[in-house]
Amino acid sequence: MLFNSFHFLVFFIVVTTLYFSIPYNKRWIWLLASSCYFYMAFIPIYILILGFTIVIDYFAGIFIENAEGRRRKLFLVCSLVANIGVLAVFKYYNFINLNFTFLLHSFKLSNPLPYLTILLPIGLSFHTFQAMSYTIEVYRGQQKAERHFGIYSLYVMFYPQLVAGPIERPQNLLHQFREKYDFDYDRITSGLRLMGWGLFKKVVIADRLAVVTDLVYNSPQEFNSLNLIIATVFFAFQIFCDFSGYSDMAIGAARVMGFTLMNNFNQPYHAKSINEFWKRWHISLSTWFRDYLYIPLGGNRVPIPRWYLNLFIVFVVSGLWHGANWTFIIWGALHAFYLIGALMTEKIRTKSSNILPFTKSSVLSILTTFFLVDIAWIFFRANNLSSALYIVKHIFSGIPDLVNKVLHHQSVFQFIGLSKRDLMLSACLIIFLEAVHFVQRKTSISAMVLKMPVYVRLSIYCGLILTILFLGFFREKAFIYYQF
Amino acid sequence: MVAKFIKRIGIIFVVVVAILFVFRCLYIVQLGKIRIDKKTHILVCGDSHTQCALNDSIMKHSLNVSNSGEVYINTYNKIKILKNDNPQIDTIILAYGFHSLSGGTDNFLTKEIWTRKGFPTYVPILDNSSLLDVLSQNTVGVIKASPNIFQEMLNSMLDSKYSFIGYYNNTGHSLLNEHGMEITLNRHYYKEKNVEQGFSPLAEKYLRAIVQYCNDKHVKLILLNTPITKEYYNRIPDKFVKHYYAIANELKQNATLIDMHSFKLENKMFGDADHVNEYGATVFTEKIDSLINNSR
Repeated sequence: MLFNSFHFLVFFIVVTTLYFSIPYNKRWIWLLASSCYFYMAFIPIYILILGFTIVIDYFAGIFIENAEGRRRKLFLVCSLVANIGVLAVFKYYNFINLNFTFLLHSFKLSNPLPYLTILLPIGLSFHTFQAMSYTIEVYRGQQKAERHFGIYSLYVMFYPQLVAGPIERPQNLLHQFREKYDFDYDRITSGLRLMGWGLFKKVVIADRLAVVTDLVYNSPQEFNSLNLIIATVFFAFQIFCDFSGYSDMAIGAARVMGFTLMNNFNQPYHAKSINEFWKRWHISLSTWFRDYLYIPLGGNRVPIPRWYLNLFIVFVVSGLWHGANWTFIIWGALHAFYLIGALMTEKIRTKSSNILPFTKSSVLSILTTFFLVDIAWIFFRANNLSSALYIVKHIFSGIPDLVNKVLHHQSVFQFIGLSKRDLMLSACLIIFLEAVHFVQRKTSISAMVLKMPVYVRLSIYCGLILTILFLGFFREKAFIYYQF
Repeated sequence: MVAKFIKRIGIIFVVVVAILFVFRCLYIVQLGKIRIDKKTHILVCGDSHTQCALNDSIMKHSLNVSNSGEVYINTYNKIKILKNDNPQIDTIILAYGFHSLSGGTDNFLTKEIWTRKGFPTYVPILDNSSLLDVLSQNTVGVIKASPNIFQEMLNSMLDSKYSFIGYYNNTGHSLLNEHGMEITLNRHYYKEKNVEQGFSPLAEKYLRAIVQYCNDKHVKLILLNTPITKEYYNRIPDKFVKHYYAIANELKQNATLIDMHSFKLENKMFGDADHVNEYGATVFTEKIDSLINNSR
């Protein structure tokens, strides 16, 4: 079930209304049943996979808590193997097999392993990581094992964040299922506002930009540099609006019922460095990798070469987490190179900024960071490695030709899926989005709205609904991160 | 607190609905301004069959406004709008094929694959009683399509282009093959394998409404059966052919049937089993032109 579908609208109204109508101690049953329905709306049979990991991790948590010494570790390893095993079979098996075949072919050998024709269970990487964080935290003694099977199942399956996060920690979420949330007007309207804003970002901005990026990225050879640049810049905003739109809707839907989920985005394109970008982008995943991979590897408290290796490993694994494809691995590796490069050149850059003060400019730092992030997005979005390399090779190389055409009064525009009016509107929406972020840096827009007279507030809400209705793309296009 | 919440949600809902209602009124006013060239007095209406078959650049004084997948409920409302705005229209050629009254045509109002484009195109022009008929067929579909319906209205108003007004559309390709014919036959005449469709009461109701409207407005109505291949005709279940002629016979006082299903054309002049291609359309249009314009 997609958040941007009519099906979800009905689901949300029914689930929320009944949630507040039933006794506190029975609400978990209702939420769990609703979450099962939500998940089964995609491919019903895959709930068995989810059930498998839930059962394994539920018992693993209890066994880890009850055991001592090496047995604790053994149970943790069993749980991690089961979770990673599910990921390996459903997400990585064919990728590994394909590369294995390629390797064997170079030795003129054939691969005896068959390919599996299976669909990736939706949101597998998200709920697997959330489940893994539970057993790790129990092992570390930071979280008590949950004895209530229903509550634990709900921790993994809570529908707002089940298929695309935010990836929650047990310390933040588990106890909330036992708390009593009353109907709170301010909290509910705040949640609905956030859902409305998320929906706006998804259907008005992201799905509009997707028309251009899909067309250009599906056949990049047919487009000139200008269109490759437009599509690549559009993709940066598409993926932000798509994923942060989803996160806002998830956080908003949970907030309506009283639950607090962690923030996943903090104006990532205002970051002045790649390091800062990763503190602002997909925060729940980057902190997961920090806590459960980077720090266990030694973090930065190791010799410098090992530190760089740790960064490289974390980003390559992060790329692989997104998808079983070399494009994602290169995307992760590029970010690792950016970070390592920044660390290696830190002293030189500090010295040069003293000589050339303009390099200290925030705007320049933001633009440079955006440029680097956007170049990496090419690999993330491209359908395959050869497409990505083609785009990287041609995105700027055709500029002299374009300039020449402009000088000779020849047209450089090609049809890229949207009318001129829609393209102008897309550009305006991006500017509007960044303007909102700019204001948000200084003050909370939500607080600003709340201070306004009630009729102004209601007018703003009506305006938002009408804007979504008139400018939204209602093709029920799935969220990009659902595939992960 | 719950009462306050419900009250405010109610206010927002009422305001949004009121704005949308005003918007629809503005759209209807705009519809009243559609003007067709004064010399055009023949309107060709219907589905893909007339859309492909009658080239309005060949047929004198005509305008082909047919649209693929158009069912009679939509054609009825389209004719009303265009005739209202353009009193010079004195002849309407309406697609009337063996499939036109089949229950299969209701799929255009019930199956999402068709309604996704169909509802935004036609719901804005439906009168109240037609809208109720569509809602009774597929309420959820109309609600789901409502954002696209309003967007279509907005775009039409901004560009003065209306997607419900179709056009002659054809190519020179000939894709006659058994598989394609099978698919078309199944779509038009079968619910599932070996289970024939029934007849559509809705299609018949609006065919009669078109006949009545044309009669009231003193417009000559011609029911046109466009050419199909012999192989295709032979595989149409008998009940559809019998029903077809029975209804045509019933309406013959007010509507003239031109039955050209067996009009002789070479196979290369068919786009597929039940549509002529560009070359077939040229020959066929000349024939219809001679029948209609020369008989004036």
